Amino acid sequence: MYAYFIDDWVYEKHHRTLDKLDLLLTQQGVSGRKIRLSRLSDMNASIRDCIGSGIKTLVAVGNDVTASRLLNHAQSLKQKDAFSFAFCVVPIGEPNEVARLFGIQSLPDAASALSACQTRLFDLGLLNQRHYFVTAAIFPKKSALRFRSYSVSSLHQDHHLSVCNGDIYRTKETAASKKFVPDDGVLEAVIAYRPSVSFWSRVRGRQASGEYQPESFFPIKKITVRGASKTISIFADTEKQLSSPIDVEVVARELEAVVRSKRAA
Amino acid sequence: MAMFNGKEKGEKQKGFEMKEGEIETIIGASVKVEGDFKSDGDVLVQGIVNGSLKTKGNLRVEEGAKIKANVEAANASVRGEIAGNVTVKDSLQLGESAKIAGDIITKILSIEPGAVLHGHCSVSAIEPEAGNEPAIVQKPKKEA
Repeated sequence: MYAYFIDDWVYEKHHRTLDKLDLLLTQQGVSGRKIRLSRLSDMNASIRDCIGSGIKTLVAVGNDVTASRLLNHAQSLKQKDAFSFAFCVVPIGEPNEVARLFGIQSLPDAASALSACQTRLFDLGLLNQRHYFVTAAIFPKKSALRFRSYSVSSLHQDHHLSVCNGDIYRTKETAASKKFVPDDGVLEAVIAYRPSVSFWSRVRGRQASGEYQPESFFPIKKITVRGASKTISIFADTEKQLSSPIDVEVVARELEAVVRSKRAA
Repeated sequence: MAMFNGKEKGEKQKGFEMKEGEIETIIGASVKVEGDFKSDGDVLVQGIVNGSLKTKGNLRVEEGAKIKANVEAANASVRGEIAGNVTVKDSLQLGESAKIAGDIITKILSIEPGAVLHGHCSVSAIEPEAGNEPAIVQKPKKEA
């Protein structure tokens, strides 16, 4: 049994896509209960209700914000009520890094993944013992990494600090130099920088790509990140405001996610 | 990528190879690490390390890297600068741009022409024990 948590804006802006999804799910025989998520809806009550009625798979229909919202509520409830669930994302809108991590790029991908119901365990990142994330937590520029016995600082002004479970950079260089394994029980602290373009290169018409290139990688299980101010805004699947210092730790193989099987791909 | 050209002749011959994508920690050229750095996997250093550096895996110190620390590793390939004692369990390779100011303990040592070494060097088949640091060496005084 499946429960589809559909974000409010999906109903408003993507009703044709929703009709298409309905058709696909019915064709694959994986239709289930639909719950509309408005700002005021009590998600905890909805999840409890679903789990109580024997639903085992919670599906977020929307983007990373929808996925993060559902995941955090479900994980928090799981700590209190001790139940198990599988998690899936039907990607509508952008960004959709969470769905991409599960191998789901489109609606047909999601429908076939749900019908095959192949699951895989993923590590989760945990911020300040409260906020879970699946893909990565991206910190503001002036943050510093503090490990148990050493600290890391960047010599570049324009650097980008993140703690990743999946490869959010997806550059050729990253693919060659580092493999991100989302179920290995460790997260990767990544320092990326944006290469500056010299005056003469600019004169010749060459412009900065604007993309950050990951350069340093540190495997972590627990780390403290200090921000420049007391409250810092970080992007962990979705934007969050947290008080500094922020403890980031891995919860190994915690999330059972429905993934697109390689055979289907 | 040029920085991961780990399959060079010298390394293949000695059987010490850091495969692309399997390096656990990469300390990039624009990064400074301060404190006691410990790792269980392969480490690539391109930036600055101050303190100590220990790994149970292989270590590669690229040209331009600056390490002010005592270093311990299973195998090591050095093309950068190290100011501190170097203890390597198996094989240590010093490239032509390597500069080491400190003592070396290892089982197998290969030095390319152009490498600079200030310090004592102990090469023996007996495995060097971790933490068994070589005797303190007084650096030669500069003649006026």
